[in-house]
Amino acid sequence: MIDPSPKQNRNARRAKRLDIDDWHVLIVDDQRDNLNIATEALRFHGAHVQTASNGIEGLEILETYSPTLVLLDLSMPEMNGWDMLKAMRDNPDTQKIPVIALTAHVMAGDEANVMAAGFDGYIPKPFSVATIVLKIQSILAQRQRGDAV
Amino acid sequence: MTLVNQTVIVVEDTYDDMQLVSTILEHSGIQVHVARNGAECLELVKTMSPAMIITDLSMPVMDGWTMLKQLRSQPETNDIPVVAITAYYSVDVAQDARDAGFDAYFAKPVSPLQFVSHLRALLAE
Repeated sequence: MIDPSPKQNRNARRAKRLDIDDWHVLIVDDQRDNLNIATEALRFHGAHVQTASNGIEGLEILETYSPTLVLLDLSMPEMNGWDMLKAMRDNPDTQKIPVIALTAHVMAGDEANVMAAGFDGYIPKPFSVATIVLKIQSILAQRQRGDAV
Repeated sequence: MTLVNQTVIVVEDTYDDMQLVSTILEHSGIQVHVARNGAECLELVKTMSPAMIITDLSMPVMDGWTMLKQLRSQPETNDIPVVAITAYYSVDVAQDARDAGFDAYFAKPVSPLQFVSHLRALLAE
């Protein structure tokens, strides 16, 4: 008998999820595939997710939904991520919500532009279900440390 | 047959196993989608055509056996290769998995290189 208690082990392993059950996340991205991977990864760990496919839809959702954070694609039709971020920062109801940019091509200088625009961090595409939640947690932790200073 | 840019759905309810399998696949350039149980995977295949599904067998809501049966009963999904992966090797489970119609059966621990080369061979068939 190699392992007499697989069931017990399985429950222990299941419990070892990332602790994000209380997260409410708004993901704004026009590319279905990216949006799906981010949604699946967050839901896997118990987070609640709402999605929008452009900035206008995203702002509409924010009128009635106060998420823990927003994941925001930069280039989208109708309204891009830069403009949606600006609108959020101009509105007292939404200006303090952490916003993480989802970037397709990270080139030298992109990171500086994203941070200068007021994003709290960025995650390059394509997304990885294995790491996306860890990356988000590390950006939020950094932001908290920044607030504490 | 290359695995790069292929889409694979990983069906796992435990964090460590999801993390292990998706990390191996993503390192090979595979785009990984994740579902927590068979029912979530059946929802996913309505919106995409994965090159392969890699699934745990025992899961809440809908297990891997039931999911396989459903996939095989639909013309749109009946030829998607489905690979079973379990936490512990069992001769009986391996036989049952073959009989049920899984395209392959793996037990952890898997060697990443061997695992990926097996998947590649399976896709080439």
